[in-house]
Amino acid sequence: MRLSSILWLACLLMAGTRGFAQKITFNGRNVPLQKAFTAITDQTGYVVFCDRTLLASAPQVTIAAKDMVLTDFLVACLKGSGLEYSIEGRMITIVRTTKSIPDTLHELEGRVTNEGGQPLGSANVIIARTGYGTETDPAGKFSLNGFGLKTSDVLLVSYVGYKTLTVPVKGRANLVLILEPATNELDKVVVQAYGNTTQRLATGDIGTVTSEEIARQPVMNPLEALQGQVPGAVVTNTTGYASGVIKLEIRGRNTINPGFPSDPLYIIDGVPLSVSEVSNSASYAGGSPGFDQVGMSPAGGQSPLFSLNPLDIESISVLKDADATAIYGSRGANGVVLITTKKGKAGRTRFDFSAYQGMMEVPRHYDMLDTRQYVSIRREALNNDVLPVNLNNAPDLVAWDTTRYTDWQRFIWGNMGKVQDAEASLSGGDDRTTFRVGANYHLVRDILNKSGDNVRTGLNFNLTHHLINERLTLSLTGTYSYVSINTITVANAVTLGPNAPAVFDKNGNLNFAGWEPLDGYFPFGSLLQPYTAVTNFLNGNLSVDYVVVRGLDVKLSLGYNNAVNKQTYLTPMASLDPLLNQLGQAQFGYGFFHNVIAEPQLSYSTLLSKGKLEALLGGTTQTNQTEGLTDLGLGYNNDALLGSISNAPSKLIFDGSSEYRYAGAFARVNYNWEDEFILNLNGRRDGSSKFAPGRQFGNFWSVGGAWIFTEEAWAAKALPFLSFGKFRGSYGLTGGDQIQPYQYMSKWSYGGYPYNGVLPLTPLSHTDSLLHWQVNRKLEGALALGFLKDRIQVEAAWYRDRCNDQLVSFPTPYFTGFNNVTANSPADVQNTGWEFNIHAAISTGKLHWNTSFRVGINRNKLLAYPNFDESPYVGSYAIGQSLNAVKLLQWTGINPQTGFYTFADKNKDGQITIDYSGKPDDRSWHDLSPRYDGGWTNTFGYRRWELSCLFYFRKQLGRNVYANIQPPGTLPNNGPTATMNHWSKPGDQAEFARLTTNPSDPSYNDFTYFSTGAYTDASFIRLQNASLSYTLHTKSGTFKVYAQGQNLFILTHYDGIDPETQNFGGLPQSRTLTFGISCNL
Amino acid sequence: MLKSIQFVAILSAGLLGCKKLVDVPQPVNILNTVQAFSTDDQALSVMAGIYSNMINTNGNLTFDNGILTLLGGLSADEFISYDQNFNDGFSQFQDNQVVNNNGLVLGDMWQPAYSTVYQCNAAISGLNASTGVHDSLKSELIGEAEFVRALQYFNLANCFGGVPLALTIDYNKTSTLPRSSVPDVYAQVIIDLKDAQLRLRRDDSSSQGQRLFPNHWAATALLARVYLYQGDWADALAQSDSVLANTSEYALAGDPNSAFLPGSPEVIWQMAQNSNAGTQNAVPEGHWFIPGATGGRALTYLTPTLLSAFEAGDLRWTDWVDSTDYLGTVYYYPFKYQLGLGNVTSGGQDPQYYVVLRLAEQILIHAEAEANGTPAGLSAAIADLNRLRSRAGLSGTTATSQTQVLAAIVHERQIELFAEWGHRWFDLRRWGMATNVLSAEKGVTVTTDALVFPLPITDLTTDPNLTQNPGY
Repeated sequence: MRLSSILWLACLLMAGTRGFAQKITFNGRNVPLQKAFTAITDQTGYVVFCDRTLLASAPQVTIAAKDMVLTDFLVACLKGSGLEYSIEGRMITIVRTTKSIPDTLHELEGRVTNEGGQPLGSANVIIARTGYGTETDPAGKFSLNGFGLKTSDVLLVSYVGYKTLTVPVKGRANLVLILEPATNELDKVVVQAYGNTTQRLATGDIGTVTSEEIARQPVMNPLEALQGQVPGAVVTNTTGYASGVIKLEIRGRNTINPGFPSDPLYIIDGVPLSVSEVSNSASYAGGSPGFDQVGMSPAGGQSPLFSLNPLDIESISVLKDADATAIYGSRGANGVVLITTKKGKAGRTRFDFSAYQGMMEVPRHYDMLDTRQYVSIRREALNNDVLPVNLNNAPDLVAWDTTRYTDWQRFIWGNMGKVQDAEASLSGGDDRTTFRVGANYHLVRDILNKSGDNVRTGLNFNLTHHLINERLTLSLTGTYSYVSINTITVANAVTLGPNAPAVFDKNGNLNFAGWEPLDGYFPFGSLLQPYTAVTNFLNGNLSVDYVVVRGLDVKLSLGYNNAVNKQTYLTPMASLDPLLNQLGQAQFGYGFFHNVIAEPQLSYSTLLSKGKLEALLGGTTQTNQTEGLTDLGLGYNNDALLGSISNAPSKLIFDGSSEYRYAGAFARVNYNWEDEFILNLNGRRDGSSKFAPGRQFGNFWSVGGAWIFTEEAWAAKALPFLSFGKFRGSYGLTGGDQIQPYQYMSKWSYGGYPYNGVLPLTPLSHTDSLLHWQVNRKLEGALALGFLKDRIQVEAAWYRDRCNDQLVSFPTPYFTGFNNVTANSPADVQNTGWEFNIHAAISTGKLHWNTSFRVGINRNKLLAYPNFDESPYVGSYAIGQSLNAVKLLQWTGINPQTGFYTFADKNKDGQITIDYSGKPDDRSWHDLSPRYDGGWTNTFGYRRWELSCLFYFRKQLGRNVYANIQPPGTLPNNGPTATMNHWSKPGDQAEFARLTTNPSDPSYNDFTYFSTGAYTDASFIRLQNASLSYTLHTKSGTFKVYAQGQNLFILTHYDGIDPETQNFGGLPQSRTLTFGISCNL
Repeated sequence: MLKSIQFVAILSAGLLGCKKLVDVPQPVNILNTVQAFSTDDQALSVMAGIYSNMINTNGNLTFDNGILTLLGGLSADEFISYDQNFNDGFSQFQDNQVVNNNGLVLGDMWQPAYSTVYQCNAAISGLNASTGVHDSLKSELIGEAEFVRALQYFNLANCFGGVPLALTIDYNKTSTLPRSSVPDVYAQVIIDLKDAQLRLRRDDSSSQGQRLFPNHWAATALLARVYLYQGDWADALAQSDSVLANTSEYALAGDPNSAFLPGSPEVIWQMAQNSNAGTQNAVPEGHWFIPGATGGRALTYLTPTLLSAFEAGDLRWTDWVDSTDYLGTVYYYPFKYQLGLGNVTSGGQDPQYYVVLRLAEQILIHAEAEANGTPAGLSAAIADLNRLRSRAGLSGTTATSQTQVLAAIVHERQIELFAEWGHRWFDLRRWGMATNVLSAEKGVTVTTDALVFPLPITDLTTDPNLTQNPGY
């Protein structure tokens, strides 16, 4: 197997260098025809046969052709010469034109290929006059004999993703037809479930991001490139760490459960990237920890897609509605993301190279108190509390230098980060074989002052070969990457008192002694606690496709992905307070992830009446194994041995493993009547090992349809300004089984510390054996319009998703033994929304302007919940409210007399109480989900220059920075400068309450946290990305130099660094600026 | 063509019909309930899981290994938390102003206590259903589980007042329970202890005399305390009498210093910490109270009130109290457990175990029950007191009247049982002295509402039938 791949590759490389272009560049004024024919032979390898006498008598020609398609070139050459051509194989024959073309029955055979000479099987060849026609065979051949073809007929030749070719028959008996890829947005290939479609013909809702759009953004994780690109898909960075979890939520929150992530199903080249949660650290807010299934990463997880090189991706399809997702059955509930990597194209062998380098920095800083202000606030607070300023109450004022100043933000993340990227690929092929081999390297050096690098190196390869008269196609695609991460946990030092002592002492050791008066509180131990992670990731797919007869394909797709993750977290004695006499620790975490999937498929396509019927029948069986293993070494008395678990004086080992199996059968029937009416049916029956026997299987289906009304004759008359108009709609059921495996079983496990020499055996969780599938009902309707020959396209979609029988981690009181049980909840959650997409491409001579504007508006609602008042959610949600809504006290400012925070006493009982009391004053609901978000992309091209920028915007409410700070005046917490505006004496109108250090003081009010005072508008518009490039086309290739910027500036009223991550004091997202070159030869 | 259709059809039909494709083997690291109780060894492991979770908590003090000592002592007049400036939750107990979202209440009291209750419930139902465990062992282990469950509920009621009585692992039956009243909780505790008395063995052979598992006498001793708390003097007397009468098994240690050593004849039940766990071979309480190094700081130190309550020459002062000079001030801390951060060794021998029940308390229960009983009991009570005083190197008590004897008992309990399981806090409450004593101690008015802790908000939120204590 492996040997034969190498052999193929060798052949390819030789074939590729010979290069058969199908396009001709020729410039000639009044030159003999023969010269043009020589150019054809030189540039394409086609041989031209022509009678010498004909050639001699032919007039001279004047042609200026640049990359002209062969057939067009021939037409141009022979124009007015009285000659015509025919093509057979690689042979072009020139004959004298038949004088008169009698309009009689005609016989015609032909062949359809793409520009690379590869045959296009199952292309439609339709006689425009009748609407009937045929399909090509796997070799691209067709015959219209017996179709009543007349010599005056015109053929319409179409294939998904290619421009429809209009061919007058003109009495010819043999045609070679070359289709060109579509360039307009409507007809470009869009990857859908188990196949391709176009925006024109799609019945479902699929948002796409192309390789060009990805290439403009110097991002390390491909998910970041989705931000603002697909309406309805909200991308949120949960941390500022490069490897951190990026949360992608499609069309709102489906689950009432705060414990499960809302991640969609990711499929890379046909292989699902499934990770079973064995770590217990997944959550709705934080997403899945991905490849960190032992819970060690300072970033809170490692995004699995971090292992994928964005520049190897050809396209990302985001499948949203029932029609697009139902064929994934049980796994489509949260949407599906299909990632397709780049493939080789037939034609000239291309060598692509690109490299960029750049810097990263923190875009903004918090405005914090300086030492003088901090000291005054501390003194005032102690004074208010009538506490003496002594070592016990105020070590920061007594033992520490009160004139010292450290800007802790600069100390922690003041570093200038670095980005480097280099990519090279070789691709090409001929009509039988195509290939692509790419290699890449990417480095991000964090903005953290004390930390290392994130590096990814990878290989991507693809090989496709057709054999046995083009009937058998073998395709192998693979990605391998190695990721290494080296970082530290960032101390939340932003709020440290600015006069805190130095972090390191004179000898370069951590200054525990200097901080001792603060009861040993020293937040910088983690600076000397290195964390490293390496991940090997392999994703491969082999598919074998055999055309049994014309229109009937049997296909077997085999996929495998494998990730191995090793993490190390060391706690040397040097990082621990020597007073506490602690010993070193080392934690080693391993994650193993395997997915194997086999999908036999049978597809059939035929022209039926005036339409095309396509049917797909298939099966899936998938096995996922996830294992997490943690070795904890304790009691090291020598830091030098920390890296070795066998040298640990005592060891603890934890493991978690799961096997998940999944099987299903699916079918799809699509009928397209004259590209006007399209009906699409999906059905799937699925079984999952996550449920108890007897409850494993579920049925899912969808119906979708589209009506392209501009194909109607009346539409052309009544709506002349429309070049395209389509209604589409869908309804269906998808499902979900996104729970940890084995939840239906009672579980006991050995582990922990022996008691009197006996190893403990302990119960692990509550058990619900009645678990079953979650069901999502999705309804969608959309209208798409094209104006000015589709140069302006507008699409509006409305959807309503309802999720019932939700699988949740159902909260149970702690007194039941565990605080949750995985169960089906009766909650009915609805997401409704609108999505708009406007795209315009305006071109005037040398100036091109492409603009697209996208916006997604989602409304989330807890629709119904039987017996809600008895449910555990009664304190946290309300029927009719969004699941992301919080119930708050109405903050009414500071009492000018007392300096205490005040809140509206809604129930007028004279006291302020919150929900669990039964007499709540917190009655004000505020939805924290984005009201809308979207992106606006503009690309300007002028001659060789291109300028592109993407604005990302989001309207939302968020927690303000003050919600997360300790009350000003407490030890040793520094606050934003705004806290200087605090109450000092009766009569003061202030923003912050009277200062205190005493938690029981009314001005130290915890209720602030639960009030509207803790929330603010966190809307923003960000220049997510801008890029400027200059491209030079030369004979030897194309060269480009460019500058790109990410997270360039932000417009917001939010006080803080980042209204997106909102975590005050946490590592913010950085700003990146890069410069690069690329070329293809 | 037909063949290929057959190929895919058969494959797909196979996927539909063949349940094997979605059957997974049981995970390698997990047993189900039936398997967990299939042999004697496994049942013993289940019990080891209960004790291990109680005593080994990675350095945190929780419900059964010291949090009652610490929070009870802070709430009463025994301890001062050094960390006055950090709102770390401890100072709230010291101020008798616990905020209802105090993390210690949930994380170190409520949750570990009920986690132990769950394990006991699971053990009782698993053992009852088991066919593989021998009957004699089954009965004994059920007794142990009942004893541990009783200990949890007794202390839960002492901390929170009435609490929900979860007696099964079926969350469908427990998750909407309301609070039971304190008498109902006590009644259940008594039922469990009485059944445990019948089931448990009357010697310490299960740990070769190390007293690491509760036996009949441990159940009796705890029952004596339960009756004492209810003011049921007759039953308290009977139960403590029964323990005191077993002189072949239990006796006071010769001096206070040896009372907490492993071979101490005074110990009725103690738990063995695992020397690889977070506190290594130190008892978790010692690990908490004893400063990490010479000149280090004590996290919690003894109040002047307690220090001044010691009589001159009391050996308990010499043996059970130690001090540190930190930045020029001397702080005193409990020294009943003598290993702390500074002198632990990982994997080493345990020089001390964590004592849950000991004879000195039974003597004090006996004394209090006698003193509250017939007038004839007074002399018995005085004799009891003098037993402890003479062991502490003190002369006999001068108390003669009932009031004086009861006051002497209050004093003797304060000194003998200081820094142990929150005795002082619970005693002040049941004697009705708490609000006066504590208001004087803290300089603020301590209300009766502050004498029980708040229920954790999370459970109030998830169980709509649960109600909060007044004042929170």
